[in-house]
Amino acid sequence: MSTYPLEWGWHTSLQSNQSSTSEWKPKPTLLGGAEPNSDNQQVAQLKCEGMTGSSGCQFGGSYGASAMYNQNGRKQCFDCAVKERAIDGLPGDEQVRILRPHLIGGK
Amino acid sequence: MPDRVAALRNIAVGDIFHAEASNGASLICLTLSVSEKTIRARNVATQIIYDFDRATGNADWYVYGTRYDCKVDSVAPLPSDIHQIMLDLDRKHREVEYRLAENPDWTPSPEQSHFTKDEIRGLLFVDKFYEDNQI
Repeated sequence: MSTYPLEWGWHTSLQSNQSSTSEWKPKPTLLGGAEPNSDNQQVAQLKCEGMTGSSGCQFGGSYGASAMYNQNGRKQCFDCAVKERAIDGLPGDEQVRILRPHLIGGK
Repeated sequence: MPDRVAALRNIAVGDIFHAEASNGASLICLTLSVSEKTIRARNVATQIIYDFDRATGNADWYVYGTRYDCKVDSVAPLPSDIHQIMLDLDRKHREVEYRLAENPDWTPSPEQSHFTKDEIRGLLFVDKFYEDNQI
């Protein structure tokens, strides 16, 4: 019986990563894909990355606070998100409503 | 319920509709494609693409390892000026995505990151409008 060169390794126990197998699990990525949680624990642990420019909370204040929003490629706390969009002169309820489309954290 | 089914069936490419996520996020969705079973739409704010079940209007959203349920809750057509503002926001946020993909160290200018008066007006409008016009 001849052995086809490319057959090498066929009989080793390769770990399948096909989506059809029951063992398949998504690989974790920055935006998720790992074992999903049923609660907000993981999101609650996201830290604010500050805002673009030079006046975000990365320069003091609440730096490291939980991030609730995702804007311009950054995870941000409420204060940074408000500054990033220059809506700090608006009433608080309007700021919350304007930022709702960017919400990633829990309510 | 039949009204909801019909409303979902009537969503067409280019339409903007609204969905709410179980974390309270407001998803302003621009329809990219419609198949027999799926409505594929992009959130104009985050540029995340969702596949909504065309029969139920539900979609899953995985963000940082957490799953949220998303549900279409309004398909009411926006006034033309607000519709245009949402398209402009989509274009603005898409450009940021492209720039960041090309250069992760790129940072938007203040003009790009600040909301304009029109954008603020549009976002406040849709927040109330979709709440008042749910299916």
